[in-house]
Amino acid sequence: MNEMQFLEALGEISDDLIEEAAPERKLKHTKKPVWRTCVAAACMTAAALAVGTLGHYMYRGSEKSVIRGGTVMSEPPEKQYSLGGHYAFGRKNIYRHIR
Amino acid sequence: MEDQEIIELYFRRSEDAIAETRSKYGAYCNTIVYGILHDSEDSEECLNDTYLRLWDTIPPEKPENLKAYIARLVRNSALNMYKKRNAARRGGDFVKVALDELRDCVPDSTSGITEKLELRDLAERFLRELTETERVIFLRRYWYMCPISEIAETCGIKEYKVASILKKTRKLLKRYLEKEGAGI
Repeated sequence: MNEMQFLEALGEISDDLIEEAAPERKLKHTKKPVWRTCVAAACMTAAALAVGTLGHYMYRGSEKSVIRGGTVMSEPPEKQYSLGGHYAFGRKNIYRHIR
Repeated sequence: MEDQEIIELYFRRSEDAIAETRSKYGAYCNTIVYGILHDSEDSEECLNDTYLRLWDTIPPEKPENLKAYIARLVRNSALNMYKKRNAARRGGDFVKVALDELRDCVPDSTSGITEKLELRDLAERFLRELTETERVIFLRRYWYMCPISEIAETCGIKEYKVASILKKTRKLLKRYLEKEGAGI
């Protein structure tokens, strides 16, 4: 028996199987249900919002942490704090002297 | 026109029977025959042979399912024509591709099962054990000889998924035939 014999034997299967597989017949259940599309869209929207929010806060955070000479400059002067720059002045806090 | 009415026309030996058959199932038959031969002239010839065979066989035959009966006739006729002529030379290598795919899972001629009927029963039992999707995809490929892209389109799934289902089904077929004593 070879492949051609198998194809010929397959030709003799029952009518219902032949009709079930007719090319013009659509398979309904293989199509994605609508709720799956909705869930996918909702997930993608939520992910996009999360990325946007995270990006926004990261951007704002990076704006605040601009360092000039070891000091965070975007804070008001009275709230400025040292980031270790005072070590260069013999462990003295330079702002104490400025004030 | 209903199938029963068409069959009645054949029984009355009315030539309208062929015209009605052509009008109702012409496109369906053409899909089957063109899927095998991939040649318009050969397909037309094959379809004419089929209509002639219908005329010759009804009566005495009285098919319960006319559509499946015609499909079987037209497929057998197309496969015979494929075998007689060098189909590959004519570009109709879709059957060759299908045969190549089946080569690894179908036993050779020295195996125990050589009777066509026995093999048909085995194939039918195997098909009924599959899920509907697997069965439809398998039959569209190896009964109707549809290309994978067309199966994917009509089933509403991706091509790679169709290929993967076919591969899995061929493996199952191989295992099934081995289990039933038709091993390679």
